[in-house]
Parts: sequence; C-alpha cells; structure tokens
Amino acid sequence: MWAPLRILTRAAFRDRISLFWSVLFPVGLLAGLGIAFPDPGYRQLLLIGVMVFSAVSFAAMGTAFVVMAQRRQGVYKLLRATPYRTAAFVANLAAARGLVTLASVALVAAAGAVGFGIPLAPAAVLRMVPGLALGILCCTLIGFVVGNLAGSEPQVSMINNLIFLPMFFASEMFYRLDGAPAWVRAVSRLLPVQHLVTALRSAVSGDGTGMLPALAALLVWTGVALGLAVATFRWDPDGPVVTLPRPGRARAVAGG
Amino acid sequence: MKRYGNRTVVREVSLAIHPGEVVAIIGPNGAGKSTTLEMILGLRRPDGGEVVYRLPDARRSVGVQLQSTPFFPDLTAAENLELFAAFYGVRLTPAEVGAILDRCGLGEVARTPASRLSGGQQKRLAIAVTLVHRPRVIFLDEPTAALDPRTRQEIRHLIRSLAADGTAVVFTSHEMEEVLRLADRVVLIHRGRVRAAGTPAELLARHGAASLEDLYLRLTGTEVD
Repeated sequence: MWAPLRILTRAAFRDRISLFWSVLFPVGLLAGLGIAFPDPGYRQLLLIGVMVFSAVSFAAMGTAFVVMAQRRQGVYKLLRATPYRTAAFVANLAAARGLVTLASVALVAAAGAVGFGIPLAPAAVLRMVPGLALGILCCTLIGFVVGNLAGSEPQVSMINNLIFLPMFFASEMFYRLDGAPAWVRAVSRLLPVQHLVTALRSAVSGDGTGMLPALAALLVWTGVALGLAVATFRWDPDGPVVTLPRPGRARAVAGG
Repeated sequence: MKRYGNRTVVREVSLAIHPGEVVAIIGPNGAGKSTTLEMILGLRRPDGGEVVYRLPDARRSVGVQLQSTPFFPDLTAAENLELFAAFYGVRLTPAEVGAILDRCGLGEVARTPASRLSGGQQKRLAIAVTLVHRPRVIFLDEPTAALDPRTRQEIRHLIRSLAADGTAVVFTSHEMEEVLRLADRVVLIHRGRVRAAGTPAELLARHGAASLEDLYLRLTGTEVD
C-alpha cells in the first residue's frame, strides 16, 4: 500500500535540479541579501520569503517538469495499462513531492535560524505547519496544471515564468508593498504566493487574525488548482484513452 | 476500427491469441500495428469492433512494453521494477526483483539509475517491467528495435523462454529474420487491414514466396522498413 509513496518519495529526494532551486539557491539568497541588508527586521522578512521561494520551486516548478516529462516518456500511458488507479498515483506523486518540499523548506528555515541567527521560535514553527501544508499542496497542484499544459521543457519554463514571476514580484516575499501602487497591492491580495507569505508571517508573529484569511484564500486556490489539474490532465500527449474491461468478465472494450 | 479524422488507420483486423504462442504483427510503418496493440490494451478508444479478454482479470493478466521506455529516471532498475510491481498490487522481495533482472540480463545494473542505462538495457528493463506480475499475455511493441545483435538475440531467447512457460507473447517487428525465428504465427497488416495470417510456413506456401521478406514486399508493395 505504501510502496508507491515510499519509492516516489525516494525519487523526489533525488531530483537534484529541484533541490538546487529549493535548498541551495534560497540559502544563497538568504546569505547574499542578509549580508547586503543586515537589519534584523528585514532578515526575518527575508527568511519567510526564501522559505516561500523554496516551496514554490520544488512543489510547483519542479512538479511541472516531472509531470510533463512523465507524460512524454509514456509513464502515464503505461500506468493506464495497469490496474493501479491514476488518482492514487497522482495523490502519491503529490504527497511524495510535498514531503520533500516540506523537508527542503525545513532545511532553509534551519539554515536561517542556525546559520544566520534569525529568531524562529518552536511555537512559530508549529503555527507555520497548516499554512505550509496548504501552500505546498496548492503549489503542487499548480505544478500539475503547468505540467499538463506544457508539451516540452522550454514550454514548462515559459509557463512557470509567466505564472510565478508576476506572483513573486507582486508579493511581499522580499520587500514590503506598503509603498506600491494600490493596484499592485490589490493584485497581490488575489495571488496564492502572497497568501502563503502572509500565512507564514502571521505564524511567526502569532497573529491568528492575519493567518486565518490567508489560509482560507489558500484553500480556495487549492480547490481552483485541483479543478484545473483534473480538467487539464492528459494520459497521453496524442489523445484520450479508455480503460480495459473490468476484472472477471470477457467483454468488449468498445462496440461499433 | 480506428479513425483519425477522415483517415481510417485500422479496419478489418481480427486476431486471436492463445496461451504459450508467439504471434508477430508485421507491416510497414503507419500500417496500424501499434494502434491495433494500443486498442487491444485499452490505451486507445476503438471507433468500431471489440476486444474480448477470456481471462479472469485482464489488467492483472497482461504485460505491456511500449515503444517508448517509460521509467522513473531517478530510480534504479530494481526500484523501477518494485514500483511497477506495486502498481499491479504485487509486492516483490529483493530476491524476486533480482531474479527478474537476472532473467532479463540486468543483474549487474540493478542499482544503476534508469537514466544511466544504455538503450539496450532500457529496452530490457521495459520487458522486465512486463514480467513483475507474472502476466499470461505480453505485448511487446518493437522489442528489438535499434538494438545491437547480441541484445536482440538475448531478447529473442527471453521471448522463447516466456512462451515455453505458457505465456502468450504478441510482438511487432520490422525484422523478418527475427519474425521467422520467433513467431508461431504471423499477422501482416497493411493499410489497417490484415493482409495475411498464419504460420510462417503456411504463409510462404500459400503465397508461393521464397522468404518472409519476399512475402512482405509482395503484399505491401513497399520496401522493408
């Protein structure tokens, strides 16, 4: 029962490119920007920002590449010939990538706390868990959508950039938007990345009233992403497929 | 029957597969071989006709090797086998994984990531994946395409040994020599229709052909791909 999750998690831990973008790059960013802007208040904000960057990199961007590659290689087509339910496969793949994303974010947080002395209380870490879990799930599902829409690696890169670069720039990942035009702040409030930032920042500050709306928005986004992921899912780049006859019966797959 | 738009790619294809026999499906590129296989496997929806499995549990009784080599590149050969076994609801012990890999000539690369396997090794791993749940019918889509002579020979031995164990093997190929050596029955498909079917000896006698290649060229009017 757990074998697919166990083995897919192992595969996700070996996704070196995603790990680079979700662990090494955020830690480098933390070091570089932390040195450039030594203000303790900014470092706290920066840590949340790089944690979100880590989550988006592995859960969304990395998953998009994996889903596109698996479809192109025919993994889903072959899977369709087995009795394994595709929903179970998708759930296991999402869970596996989610677990490794969580580990990546934890490493980044640990690097910030231990390596750069950014205060992160155990209670704050616990409060982050719901927001992180929901945010990672939401990002993974967005990754599925991108992987479903793209037909090649360059297309994955292009769609990832089109979706996430505006989200990064219009969020408070690395700076505050207090001085930004009103429309930028309005757009920001619609996007899941900003809600993840808000949820984590509220968890650190202990601001429950700030966290709940952010979690609710993330929940809505997760539902939207799930619907889009299901609607755009393709087994085969060439077209639709059907199932084999149910076990125990000899019958036509299709009649004409 | 299968249509893509106004083009009918498969029509009037009828074949039965029995336990322990090796059936070769041959024909030019675009003849409808892979589409026929994919319809049999339920991977493509037929526009007409029917596929009947006289097996208790079709999905658990059928093994499939597609033309592509769909693996999880970050997993080793052994892990890929273990994962696909799990998809069939089978839990393989390390000894069983090792035995399947050994049978397919992959024992030495059991711990090598699938992405680092050679083309021939990936093809053998694709065949190994078909064996994880001890299927009663195996469909192999061009199992020896683009492989060196030694690997082709090893795969032919494997196919014969599977048939000797009672497994029905259906494969597509462009290699007439290979078809002659391996197949108990040959089905020649051209432009979506079965143009000839029978044992190699029957076909040669019926059409007065000197070789399978001669028969192929005569019935398809094309050169061997």
